[in-house]
Amino acid sequence: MGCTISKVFPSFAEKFLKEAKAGNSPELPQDVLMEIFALLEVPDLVRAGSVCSSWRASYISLCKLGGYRQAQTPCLLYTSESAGENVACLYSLAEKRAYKLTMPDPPIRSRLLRKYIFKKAFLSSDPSMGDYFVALIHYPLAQLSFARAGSDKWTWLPPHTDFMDCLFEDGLLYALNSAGEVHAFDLSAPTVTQKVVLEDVKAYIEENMYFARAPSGDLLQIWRSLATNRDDYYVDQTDGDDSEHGSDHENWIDDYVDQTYGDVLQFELDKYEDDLEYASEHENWRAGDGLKPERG
Amino acid sequence: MAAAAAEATIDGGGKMIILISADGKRFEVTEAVASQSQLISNMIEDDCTENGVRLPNVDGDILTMVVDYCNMHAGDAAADGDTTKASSTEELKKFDAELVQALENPVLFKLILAANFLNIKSLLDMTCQRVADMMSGKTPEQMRETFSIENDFTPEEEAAIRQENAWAFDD
Repeated sequence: MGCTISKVFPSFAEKFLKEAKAGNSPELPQDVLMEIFALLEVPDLVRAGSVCSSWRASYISLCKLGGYRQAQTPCLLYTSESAGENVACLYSLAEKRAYKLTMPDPPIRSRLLRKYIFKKAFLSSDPSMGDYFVALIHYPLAQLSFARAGSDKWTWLPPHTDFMDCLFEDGLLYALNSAGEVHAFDLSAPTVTQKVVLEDVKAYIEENMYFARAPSGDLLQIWRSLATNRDDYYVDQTDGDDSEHGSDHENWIDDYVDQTYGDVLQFELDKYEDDLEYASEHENWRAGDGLKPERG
Repeated sequence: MAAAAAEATIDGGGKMIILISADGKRFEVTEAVASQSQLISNMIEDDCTENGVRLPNVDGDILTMVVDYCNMHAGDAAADGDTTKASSTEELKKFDAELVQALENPVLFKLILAANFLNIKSLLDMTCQRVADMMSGKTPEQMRETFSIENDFTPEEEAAIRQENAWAFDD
């Protein structure tokens, strides 16, 4: 077997030495170039796309088709003070070198380090209908920011934190925090106005909280318990006029299922409809028009 | 060289196919060797190899290499239990590694074109990988030099392209 190789191989070496010096490199067709480029690490691929026009065309086609199949050698993405606030550093294990990528605002350095990411986003209306707002609950402290369609930046709504849910209604933004407090914002006013339409109704954070519209038209707070063995849901009727609640809040904060007072109603999930009916008939549950604060 | 290739195949037996290069060189190979090329395999199926297969875009020198490669690799495809004919896996690996290392342009690109035209997947994969390896870690200028490619961009075009992904170009 060994002799087969020695018989065949010298003929190659001989030829290459001779041939390598003669003639021009032929052009490779686009499909072959794409095969080759698909084998490259990303930085090599990007550089290959700037060699000549035919290589560039193949590079663009490959990127467009998403035919990029090479499993990339992992890179480490990091930021450093010396590189600058807007620079992401990409260390390539394949090449054992770092690349520096300048990113648009906000500065990547603070974004990454402070986990500046989003929790929930809300649209005021269908974007296809034209003008609209986006409200955003974001980290680090579940704060609220908003942007109007066409705007190039977010506007923060300080100083409140711990928002759980939002709802656009009658041109206002309602935001619910983890204490059950409801804030109303008029984002379209020249200066954004803010009003607390429901004071805090509970003292500690034990639930995920949501807005929900009842069939009767009332706006409800849904508290979903985070405790492991409880599947029950708790509902609190939020009311624009919080005088009904008064100082009695504390009574049911300790015992937040207090049907005699009527502020809070416990119900099983599968009895949802019945309980809602009961709630709307209960005189203490009458909440008028629900959340209809005066415009600021 | 053509003689060496022919000699290696005659004892393989079976029906012989004649391959004719662009410059008129003739190669006699067994069907098992030739059908590693999907193009020729289809021609054998269609019974149109009687008067030899003309390959007008493959030079004799390149076709010699292709035939040598196919002779070495006929073993994997044939799999008829004839161990004297089939090359061992280790030998093949050594053969391929040495072949690939020796490849430089313009032979490399010509071999890629031949493998692509004849549709010999393993040879195409191997040669494409060689090109990719040769590109690794190089600047665009070094790539042009390695493969004798002319830069046909205007300075403005090139600057704009580099600007798009400036990060990949800072050295």
